[in-house]
Amino acid sequence: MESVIRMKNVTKRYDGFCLDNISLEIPKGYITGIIGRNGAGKTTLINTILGVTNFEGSIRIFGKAMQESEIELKNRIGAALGGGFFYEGLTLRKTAELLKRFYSGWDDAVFEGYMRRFGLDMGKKIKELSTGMREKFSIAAALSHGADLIIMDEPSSGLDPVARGELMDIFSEIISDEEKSVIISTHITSDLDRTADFIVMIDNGRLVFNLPKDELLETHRIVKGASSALTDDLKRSLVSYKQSSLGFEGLTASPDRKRELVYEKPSIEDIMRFYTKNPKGAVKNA
Amino acid sequence: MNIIISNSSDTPIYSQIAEGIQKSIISGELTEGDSLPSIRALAKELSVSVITTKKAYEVLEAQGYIKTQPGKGSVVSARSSSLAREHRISEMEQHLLAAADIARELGIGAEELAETAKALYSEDLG
Repeated sequence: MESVIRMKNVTKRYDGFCLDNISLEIPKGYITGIIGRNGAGKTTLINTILGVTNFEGSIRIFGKAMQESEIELKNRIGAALGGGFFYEGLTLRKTAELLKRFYSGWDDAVFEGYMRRFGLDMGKKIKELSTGMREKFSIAAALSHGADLIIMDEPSSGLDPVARGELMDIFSEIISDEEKSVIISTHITSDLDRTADFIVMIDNGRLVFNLPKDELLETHRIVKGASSALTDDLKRSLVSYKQSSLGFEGLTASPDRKRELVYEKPSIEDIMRFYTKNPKGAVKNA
Repeated sequence: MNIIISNSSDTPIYSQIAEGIQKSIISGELTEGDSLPSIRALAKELSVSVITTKKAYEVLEAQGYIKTQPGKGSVVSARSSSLAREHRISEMEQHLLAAADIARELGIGAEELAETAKALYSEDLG
């Protein structure tokens, strides 16, 4: 499978946080979701890809490094980051005029199409937009210069379920030509349950897994049972578990099934929950 | 063609898609030479991952129901209808086998089982 992004040993240190030696490849022509709790490193990871922040290691996008081919790469990437940074006093029309100067492939017809689809009024000022409308505007701008790689950081956090569903449909349309790729970071994992092709999870700055979504969902099962059934052997076979006075619940990647236990299909959210390590010092619920 | 996907079902989604297409072949809705939607178009229609529809087509191809030609897409194969019938017959045999097991367990003879089957068969028609 051809890769759109290759990251090798990427490390970025801040005060109290470290994106720790990440190596991963993101395949071309698919939707990849980056998941992890708040502060896990999703935004830092995206910032290193976009060259917004410096880092150790190497990142190749379409086989090229950002430092060497910045103009080409920025034209081929459509990014929407946290609601966008626009001048508050400008209308959407004026803002679009500013944006199109940066992108050689800007297409007014495509942009206006998204504005209509999202119900955005070109005459409105940025400061008059709600959080959800700002996100939609920022997404419309990212999708309107014929980019081959769409990168969105938490695109749906301010959107209602209907708009989130519509956004996922747009992503499916974008990748249907097999040439374009979409990367979305989100902690609203339900957006990814259906249409995402690959899931990358990071936790505490580390890569936990990078797997096809179907494989992830088919190999994992939620296990539930009485506390007495939670033997040391079983504990070792679980990704993690939590125990209460009424029994235990855990996640397993093992195909073994025990008769006294209940097995259920997990959602991506369940998988993320059990793969997330408790921060240091936190007390595990008893 | 109707493909109905249940997210709560224990059957993986790619199998549900493959079964939906199989059913359309069995019912005669899809016949030899009919073309199927592309992997990506179907994924978009069903709001599922491209990898899921790809796997569904791979399963159907391995079973002989469809043929995929690079650049041309997938079409229903010549032996698909006989395969579909065989598949349903073996499904029926599985159910009969299960019924026979229960009959043996209860001490019911082959004759009596056949009588029950006959009665049920005509009841279903009426």
